[in-house]
Amino acid sequence: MPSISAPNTPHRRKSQRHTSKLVTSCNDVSDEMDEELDPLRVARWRALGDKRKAIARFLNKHRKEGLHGYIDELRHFAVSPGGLIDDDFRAEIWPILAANLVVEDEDEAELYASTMSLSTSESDFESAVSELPTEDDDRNTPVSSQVETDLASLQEHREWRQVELDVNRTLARFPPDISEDHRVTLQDDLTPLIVEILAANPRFNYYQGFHDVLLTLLLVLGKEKALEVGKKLSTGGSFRNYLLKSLESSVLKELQLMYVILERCDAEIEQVMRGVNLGSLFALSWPLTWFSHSLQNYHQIVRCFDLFLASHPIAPIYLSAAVVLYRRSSVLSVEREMPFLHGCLNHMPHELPIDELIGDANYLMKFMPPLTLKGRYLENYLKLVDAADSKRPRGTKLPSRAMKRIVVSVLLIGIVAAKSQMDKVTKIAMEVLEQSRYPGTIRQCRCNEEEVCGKEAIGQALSCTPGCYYAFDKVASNPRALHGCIQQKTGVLQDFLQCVIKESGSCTNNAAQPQVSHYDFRRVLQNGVARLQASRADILSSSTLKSIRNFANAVMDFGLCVESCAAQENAAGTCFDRKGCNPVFEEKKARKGLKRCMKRINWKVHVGQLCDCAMAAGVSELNRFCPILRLMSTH
Amino acid sequence: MSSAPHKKALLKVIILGDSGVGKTSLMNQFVDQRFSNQHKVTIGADFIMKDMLVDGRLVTMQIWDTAGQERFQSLGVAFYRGADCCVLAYDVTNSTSFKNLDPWRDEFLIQASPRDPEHFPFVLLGNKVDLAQDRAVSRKKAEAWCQTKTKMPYFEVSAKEAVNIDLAFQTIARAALARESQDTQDFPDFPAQVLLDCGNAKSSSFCSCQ
Repeated sequence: MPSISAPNTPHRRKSQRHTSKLVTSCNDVSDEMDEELDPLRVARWRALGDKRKAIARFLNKHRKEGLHGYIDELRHFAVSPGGLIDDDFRAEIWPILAANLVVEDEDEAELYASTMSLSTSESDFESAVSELPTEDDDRNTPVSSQVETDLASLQEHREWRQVELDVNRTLARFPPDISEDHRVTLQDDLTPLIVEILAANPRFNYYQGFHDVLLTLLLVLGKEKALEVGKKLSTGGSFRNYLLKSLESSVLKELQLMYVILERCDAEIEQVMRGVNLGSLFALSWPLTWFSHSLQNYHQIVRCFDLFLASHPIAPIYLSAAVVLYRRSSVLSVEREMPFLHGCLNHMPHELPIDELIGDANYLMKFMPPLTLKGRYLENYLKLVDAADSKRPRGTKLPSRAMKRIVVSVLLIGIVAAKSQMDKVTKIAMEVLEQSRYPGTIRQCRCNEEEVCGKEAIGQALSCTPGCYYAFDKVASNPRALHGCIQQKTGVLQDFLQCVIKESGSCTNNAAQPQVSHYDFRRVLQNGVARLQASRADILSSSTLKSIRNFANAVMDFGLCVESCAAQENAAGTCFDRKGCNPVFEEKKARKGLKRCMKRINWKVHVGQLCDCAMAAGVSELNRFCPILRLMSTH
Repeated sequence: MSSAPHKKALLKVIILGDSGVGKTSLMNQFVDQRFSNQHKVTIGADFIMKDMLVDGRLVTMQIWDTAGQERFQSLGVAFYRGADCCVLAYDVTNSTSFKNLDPWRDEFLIQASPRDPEHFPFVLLGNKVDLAQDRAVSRKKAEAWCQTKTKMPYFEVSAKEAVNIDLAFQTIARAALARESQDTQDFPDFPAQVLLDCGNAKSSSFCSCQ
């Protein structure tokens, strides 16, 4: 099967039509290389021999003066056919490439963010800003200065167990020529290596597949250099986003660009893929692991790493597109259903002409440079998709905004409480707090003081809500009853608050009240509003909420309304200001306390009851959701 | 012929559970009758098909294996829709994986939002019973949990030693088949907002309203 050498060439566009019967699995997974290519292979070997000599000569000549000054030459070696050829060369050159990673320029990032928000957002609130704040925050977050190198402290890390679990499942990744003993040693080294990199930034979230990247580094570079390169890649390279953001807002967003490339090169295949709502999950591991998870051959993997270490951060996306284009005939011969297409593309053929594919990726990158791809091309693509979507018949008209509000209020309480969201929410809350700190300290509140202030806050929130759920009037046949549903839960809310105060250790009953951080709670409320606005896109991109994205948006409106109202009520000073004390917040404890208290008050039961109550108040549309919530509350 | 009451049924089954409980191994043991420690971590999702006989009827099982790490959980939901049975798996030597069954079940119910959720078939598998000495969750505890979940069927299995695998998947297939034949409109393909627009329709069949 020929590789594409130039997208859009007539030769490729007119390649085999598929009229024969479609099958459910693709046939290229066990393809043998074409025998006819042999003379070509010989020629290639000869060329590689020459290149090997050239690299050796170059390194010998410039090693003494330091290779950092020759980054262009090194990148050229890495990207051109054959890559860096030998692992000995790689061990010397990879650290230099990693210390000089190609960076995405600021304009590019900004343009991308604004394109994404303008064209994909369904909300009035999402703006370019929404994509950026986490990014900016991270830049300012200093990387932890204390170096956690001793094994015992690494084992305490929250991700240790998961990493270990994944490292245990890497057997298939070791080249066959590695001895059993050596393999065991490498696996033993791998877990602490990964965790040490994760520990450098408390905001890093490990993902499965990051271990594949580090294993590749370890195999080629050995322990010390792998750590050095791993750190560079996690702080400056593409993996940084994967470790810091949700996968939806990082890797899946990048993978959308794969579709943009496909559409421009081969509209037919893009249409087939989009037509079955294939999505990008089949390619998820490709950028996440720089192909080290799905490629079956060690030499192919290191060849990819040569390319990516020397290229723009989204080079893996170009290679992903090249792989799909190369497999076009297999893809088109598969039955047009999502599972079968997913299954076909999810499995990488054993034999892949990796050098040609890398050549294709480079060609595509020149042909559609990242800046244009993320800007104009993406914009055009989104328009095209939008237009195609609007042609599809819609069964029913969109619901009223008001309707959305109520459903989401109920559902979100349930969903936000789910574990994963909770971590996100407490994290954001802690950041907001940190931003609102006064210099100096203040005495810690006594528990009875905190309770009074807590009750006051609930009272304020409740007095604010009527002004905010104006919209409910239009949707429920009995809005007063609906209001009653929420008021009925006030008692539970207060119990919950008391429980949290007790469990999170925020107050003291100690006669000698210790001095603690001093926060400006008015600013907390203001910053909270701003932060909620800004992270809106990120929160909504979680796919739990995606299916009810419109609704989730509405609930955010509701929450924002209540929060800004509360901010106004406290303009003259909060309860804590009047008491002259502050509670203490510690993220881990707060999260634990919240979870424990939710369990104790049996939140699922209350969410279910709230749903039933709203249904009885005339929101008949809830009758599909309430049974699910009710079912969730059975223990 | 066209009504073909016995045409081959395609049953979609989803396996959910924490990372490392053995979802991929369970699936491989059922499909290929072998256990290997060479398989890689599942990133994203993958499926295997297998034909089998259920009470004399030939069915095709399409079994979806999803990533267990929490970070990937939300991505796998694209595959939940249309499921005929949801298999929850935990590791009997790991009590956290047992505690997380509730969230997995909740997530499935929310995301797939099957009609008549009270009767949607779940099956619980407690894997790694070959490691009896490391056991952290008793059979009794697991059975008690199942009792509270509309009597969910429970099997203690070992993907490694091929204990109870066939029996469990027979039950899974039977439950899926019963579900599939009972209602073809289980997961009507609607975006959530369409459902909610059925405003004043008195009928519970939300697809009929305009």
